[in-house]
Amino acid sequence: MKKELILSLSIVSIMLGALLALGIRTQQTYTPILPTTNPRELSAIFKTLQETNKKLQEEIRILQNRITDYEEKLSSGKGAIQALNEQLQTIKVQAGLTDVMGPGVIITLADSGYRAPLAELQNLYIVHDYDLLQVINELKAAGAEAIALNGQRLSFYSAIRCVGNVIQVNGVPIASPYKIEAIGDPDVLLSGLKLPGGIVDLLTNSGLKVEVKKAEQLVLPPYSGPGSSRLGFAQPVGGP
Amino acid sequence: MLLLLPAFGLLVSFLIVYFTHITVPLIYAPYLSVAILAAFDSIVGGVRAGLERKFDNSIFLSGFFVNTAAAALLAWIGDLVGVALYLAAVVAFGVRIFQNLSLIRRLLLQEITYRRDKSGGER
Repeated sequence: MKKELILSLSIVSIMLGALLALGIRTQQTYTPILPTTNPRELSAIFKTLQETNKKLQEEIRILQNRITDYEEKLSSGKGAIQALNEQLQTIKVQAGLTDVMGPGVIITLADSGYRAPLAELQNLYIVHDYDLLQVINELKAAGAEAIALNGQRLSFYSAIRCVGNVIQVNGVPIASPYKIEAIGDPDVLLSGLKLPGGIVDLLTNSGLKVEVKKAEQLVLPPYSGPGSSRLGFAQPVGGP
Repeated sequence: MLLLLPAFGLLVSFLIVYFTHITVPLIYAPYLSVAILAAFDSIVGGVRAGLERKFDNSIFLSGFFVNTAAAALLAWIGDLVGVALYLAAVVAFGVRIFQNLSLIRRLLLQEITYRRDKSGGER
């Protein structure tokens, strides 16, 4: 009877040893490379990655199509000019040198109607250049593709600054109320602006009149300020 | 000497599997953990039964296999219905392992004092 006990115990011990080693090895293999070993969380992560992968592959396909398109046009000689022209048009849109239209948002900022008891304090209740810059920065961060301020299209060269008691954009003076139009995904732009504690909250709390609304169709004029026609200093490096 | 056979078997099989670098797929890892716990519980229970001189080989072996499989199965079913049922197995086995370990300790101490008294009496 004693012998039987020890034999059975040995068999079971052997199996436990194998199971233990298997468990330890499994944990060692997966713990360092995965953020969690919970299968449900992992499957959620896997799904998002899969979707991202799908989108990226779609992008690869589009880009490859474009490459073959260009190559075909280039090889046919005459089409080369056409291909270059198309490229030029795209770049012009990106540089803000053409009219553009599309959905987006309109933000209106106006000075607070409040009359400060002291003239010096009135400064706190008007819209400043940096308020506008902050809003525009937020719009850019949320993926705005084209932005205009009071009808002045913003480009790489645009400056927004305080000159005396007016704000100048592209060298043109503008006054309150300020209307910022931005083309991009309206929902994304809106959520970027309306983040809790974000720029709209901040400006509203400081007493300015802020109004944000979606627009189905915006038409923005081309950029016409300095540097729009010719550059004086910058020269391209390399290239044809 | 024969008493060391289980420990020796455990060590050898552990080392063999450990150095062959076998792993189970990640989805089955939690079930494996529960199965390990069940197996450990069976062994502790078997040792205790042996010390109490109530050991039954068929009960022991069937208990080992059925418990281990049932624990893994329970954990799996729990995952299917979205309830952390493996916790039930962990708690049940955990409690029993500690109970059995304390019983084994007591039985061993009894045995030792009994033997000492006996040899002392003969002298």
